[in-house]
Amino acid sequence: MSPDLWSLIWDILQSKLFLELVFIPGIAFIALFTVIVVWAERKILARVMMRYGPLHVGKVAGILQTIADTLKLLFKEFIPPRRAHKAAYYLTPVFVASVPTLALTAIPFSKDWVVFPSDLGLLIAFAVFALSPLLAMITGWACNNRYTVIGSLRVIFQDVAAEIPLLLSALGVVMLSGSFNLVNIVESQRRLWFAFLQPLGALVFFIALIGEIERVPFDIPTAEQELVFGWKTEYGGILFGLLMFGEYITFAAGTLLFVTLYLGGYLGPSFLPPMAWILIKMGILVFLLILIRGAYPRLRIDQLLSIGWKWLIPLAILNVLVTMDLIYFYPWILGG
Amino acid sequence: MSEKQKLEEKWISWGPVHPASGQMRVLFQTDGENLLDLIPDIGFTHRGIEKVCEFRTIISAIPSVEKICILDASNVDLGFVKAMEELLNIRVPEKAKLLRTFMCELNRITSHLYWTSLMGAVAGFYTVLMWAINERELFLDLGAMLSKTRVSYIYIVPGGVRYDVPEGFKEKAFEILDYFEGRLKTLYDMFFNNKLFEMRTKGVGVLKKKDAIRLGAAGPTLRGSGVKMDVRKDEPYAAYEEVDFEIPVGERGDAYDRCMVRYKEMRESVKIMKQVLEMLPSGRVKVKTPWILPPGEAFSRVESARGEINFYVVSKRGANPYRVKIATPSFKNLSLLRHISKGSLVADLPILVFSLDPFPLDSDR
Amino acid sequence: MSVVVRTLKPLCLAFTHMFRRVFTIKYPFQAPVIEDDYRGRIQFFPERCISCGICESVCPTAAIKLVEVKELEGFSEVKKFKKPQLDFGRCCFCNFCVDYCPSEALKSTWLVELAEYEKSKLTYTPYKLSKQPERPKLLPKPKLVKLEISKVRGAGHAPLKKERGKK
Repeated sequence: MSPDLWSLIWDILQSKLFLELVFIPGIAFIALFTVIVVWAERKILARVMMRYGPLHVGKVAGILQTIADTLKLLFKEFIPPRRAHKAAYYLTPVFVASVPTLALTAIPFSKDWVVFPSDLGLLIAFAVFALSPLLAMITGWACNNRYTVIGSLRVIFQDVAAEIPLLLSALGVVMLSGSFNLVNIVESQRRLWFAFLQPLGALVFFIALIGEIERVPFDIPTAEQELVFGWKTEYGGILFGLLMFGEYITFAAGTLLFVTLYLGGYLGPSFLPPMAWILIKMGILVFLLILIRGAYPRLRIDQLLSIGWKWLIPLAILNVLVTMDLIYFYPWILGG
Repeated sequence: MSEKQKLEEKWISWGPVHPASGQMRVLFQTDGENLLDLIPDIGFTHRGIEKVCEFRTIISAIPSVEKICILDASNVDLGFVKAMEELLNIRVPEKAKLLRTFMCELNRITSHLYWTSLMGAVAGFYTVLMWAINERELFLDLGAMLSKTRVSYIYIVPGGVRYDVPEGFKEKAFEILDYFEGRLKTLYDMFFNNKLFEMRTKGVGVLKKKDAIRLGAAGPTLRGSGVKMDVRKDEPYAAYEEVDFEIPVGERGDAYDRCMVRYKEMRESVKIMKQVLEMLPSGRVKVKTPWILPPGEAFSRVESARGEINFYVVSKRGANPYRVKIATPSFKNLSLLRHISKGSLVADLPILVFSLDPFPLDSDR
Repeated sequence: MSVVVRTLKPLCLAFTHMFRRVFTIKYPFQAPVIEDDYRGRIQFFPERCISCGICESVCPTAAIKLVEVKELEGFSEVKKFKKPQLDFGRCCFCNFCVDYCPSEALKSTWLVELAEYEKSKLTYTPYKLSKQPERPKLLPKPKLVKLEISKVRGAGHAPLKKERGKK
């Protein structure tokens, strides 16, 4: 091999893009997040329920349980339904697992640590979020099962109810920072986090986010008590693993987005690097969401729709109006 | 396409192999999210216990009779034993009566806690599942002290109860009951008074007072609709005459009211158990009973955790009864399912079923 | 206002319960104390048995059968008589045989771990039935735990102070 190739490889290895794609927020981060959060979720929920949770695999508190489970899923047979659309059945889990990672490319982990720096970063994240119900619908349809079809229809309903307030409440943040660029949004929170300037917007965003990432109390599409496992019913083995993986990446992207928009993203005292701050804030949010799973039952789809349309959307619009007034009458709120 | 396939095309099965259904099936038709129609389909666990009783002596039938509803073993057992005692004309010692009352209330609590856990599970609330099962464990330990086993008690037999109170039982029972009263409050804050749980159950599966009586509802389902009927008060057996307790009733007759009735019943049961422990005299717990049944017939009513359970026993002189007919509450309540499901959504189905607290083994016998 | 309280209280309860005591018993490594007269495996005392057959007739599941005991099988004093043989695959642990035995030749014990790999091994001959109950060798020796209730940290299982020899 020629020295040119070596230097090229060396350059690639040294380049920031490579580091971003491999470590944060790339493969290593996603894999580690999934492994740790699945374990933490099981452990925290177990403590809420007064049990032990994973205990034996990996000596210390069963920390390797997720890896053991993944290995188990890898060796399991998956049985496609006879009447399923085979290509869609096999392909969609791959997309479900890979598409949400695109949302991570827009998130700034420090001032100059963004995979895809763009002036429309926020819109990119939302566009990626909007893709996932489409994939869920294809999955449910491809399985050709009555439970999965009902499940995928619920995904669509839920998305309509959750996505609009999500966007509308984020509008307040955009108005305050004057930019769709997520780095600018974070930078304009140096004085005060937007969670304090926009408590209503943050609340609406938080509730809509739970609906968007399909977690309890809004895990309606996978309601196992009535729909066996919703649109994931027919999957087994590593295909099911991929669907779960996709779910947790959406979880990561959603929490990171909330942290970036309302909790000052990577900002924090300088004794820790910015990347640590965003991860700490994200960890707290993840803990809160796990705790919510331990404290509430699931709601019904009509209740989610009425919450979405009758409460979240009007509140989000109110939030936008109040923010407009604030900016008009008290321009000093923008800083500068 | 065969007739069976056609039926399966038209109807969606909820059970018998399903995360939440239990050993029964509900066939339902939907239009999107709306439930159009449903058929409760039972019979997957039929064991022919009525027939089994005809081949057992009055003592050896009890383990089988208990398995009608093993979650509620003592209440079912008492119903059978009451009918037998009526036939044999036996008077039960006072202490045995009190111990029977204690055991029945203990079983009512374990059964209701089991239902709480299932109700939590079908609402997607697994924390409550674990908590309620944990509390149930305390009562299983208490029952094990008295009857020397944890679930299948076989404690109440013709002539009294099998074992006397062990040493240190009273203190242990009071410790557990006091602790459980506190836990019940926590369970109320966590589950029964949880706004989201109320949203899930309020206004779902309304059973009006008139319909509840007309369709023959039983137990907490009947009382949830506002009918103040309880065999323990109407026709007191064991020592229920001597203890002071109330019958909780609902107002609107929806799933939430049924849940609250069961919650309040647990509180009343604790009250009864405490009174019984205070009243416990010394003396015998069992009298000798003859083995041969005289000819005749007997009918007994007992308020089990799921409602009134009836035994009708005919005897033609012999060690075995000639015929035993059992009317179980789960069967009565499950037949209401079609009526209360009108205008519900698919997501309500598990809530509807479990608000009636059916036990498939109980309805199949 | 009450709606907010009713919504947020479960969340607070979920958080505080994280610091309560764990209720679970780590079963094969820990085991609850079982009283000596628990309705577990039946132990048979051949020297007291009068071979009346009441246990056989009272058994609801027909698990007990009287079989003729051979001299070689271990009993040298009592021979020719029939002794109970118990099939634990059928037994429902009702203990009626113990209750109705006129000479107290049967006694229930604490042993509940009776699983076997072969069904035929569940049939206990009179000789096997007369042996002391013994925990299966396959299981690790567990630490015994006992239920404890405290108002603050909740109910849980605490290890027993002194170990009992025979369990």
